[in-house]
Amino acid sequence: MRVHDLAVDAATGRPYFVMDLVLGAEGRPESLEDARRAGAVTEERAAAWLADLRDALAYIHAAGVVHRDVKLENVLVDRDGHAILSDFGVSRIFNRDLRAAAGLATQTFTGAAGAPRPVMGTLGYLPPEVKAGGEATAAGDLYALGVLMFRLLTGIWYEGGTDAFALLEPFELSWNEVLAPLLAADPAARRLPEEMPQRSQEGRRSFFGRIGARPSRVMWALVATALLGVAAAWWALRPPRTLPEDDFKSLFAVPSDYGRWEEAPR
Amino acid sequence: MSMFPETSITLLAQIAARTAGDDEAAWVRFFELYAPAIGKFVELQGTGRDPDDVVQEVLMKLVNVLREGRFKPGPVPFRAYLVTLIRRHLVSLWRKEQARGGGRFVPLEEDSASVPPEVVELIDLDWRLAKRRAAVEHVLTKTAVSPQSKAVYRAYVLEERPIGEVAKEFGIPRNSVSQIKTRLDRLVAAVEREMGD
Repeated sequence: MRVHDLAVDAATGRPYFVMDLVLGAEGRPESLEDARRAGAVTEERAAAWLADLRDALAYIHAAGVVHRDVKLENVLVDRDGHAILSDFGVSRIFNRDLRAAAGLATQTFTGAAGAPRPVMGTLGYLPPEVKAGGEATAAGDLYALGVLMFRLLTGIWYEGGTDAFALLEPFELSWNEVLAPLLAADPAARRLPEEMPQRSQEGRRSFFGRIGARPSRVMWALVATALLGVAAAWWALRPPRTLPEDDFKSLFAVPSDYGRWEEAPR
Repeated sequence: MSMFPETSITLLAQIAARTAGDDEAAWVRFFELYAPAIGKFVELQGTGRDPDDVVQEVLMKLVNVLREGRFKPGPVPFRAYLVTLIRRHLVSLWRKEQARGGGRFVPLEEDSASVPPEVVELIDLDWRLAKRRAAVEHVLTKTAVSPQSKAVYRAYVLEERPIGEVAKEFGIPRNSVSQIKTRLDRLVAAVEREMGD
């Protein structure tokens, strides 16, 4: 989401900024959480939103910004159906140059020894290292994106472990491959997906068995034509069925005792 | 030391944790999951009342109970507390109607302390059934599972049609029908786990 202007209100003295107005297809603000609750999420839409959010996070992380509150409620859907990452209210700039340009001091946690670090974000989306009292980093945004996608697809919270990934089995796209690197327990192992989820092997191989993939009449006709073609080619190219010359002659040879059988003694 | 319990994130734990800024989302989720379950439980009680009205009234009471921390997780599971709350509410509605000379249903008992254990067990079963039905509805309406898989599950599990008939209708092998059932059952169980006990 773009910021167009920064200014101070003359009457109240309060600072404000001007951002894009993002309205959904119905002409009102719509978040991914709204879409989920309305039951309007399909795998194809989810994959497209994942691509949008991947690009958004790659962009802000490259600029040295960590969002720290990636969640369904903070992603808006525009008229074209694209996902727009919004609400940078608790985000943090780590890029020193950007911080200096914005007039921000170098922030470090200065709480008393043993005191818990203030936590930013939403409980269900927090990565293990932040729950354990660590600092929110770009890897934490990736984890939150994984939780967001898991929730968007299954309607429930991601709780970790292999059992959680078994819940992705009913889906037709290969979500496991995409979400596992985002939800890795080790922050250093987390990666944004390069490829979007594909039709799973099961979906691909089950031309005749996959749900909703009944072969059409045209497909049946093509299969029948191909089988007929193979049969015709075999008939045309089959090896000549000839008998050896001796066998051929022997087939029509007159037996030496032909005609004499009548004279044979009874 | 962690600021959060290492146990799984159930809805009730989230509400109890009262993380700053997270209250609203947790409450929205609480209503999303519990309102249908409470409605289905009220239906099973056969009171003849509009479940939606009872759901609203019970949820308002629940919000106060949970917000004020009056429910303490302990030996009594949340479901027992919730079921008692709903039934007391139904009894109070019945009393009001009696006082007005009306009343369309007679509750099994007026005093929950006098309820025989067999009845308590039946009521508990009612709640589990209501919760299961709400979880199934959640999976069929709030997930990105394909419409075709949902239709197969609906036909085979909810309408209890024979597996062969369902397989034939959808043009899939019988084992695909079983597979869909197993996989969606797993999602249903996960929704129930999130609701907590």
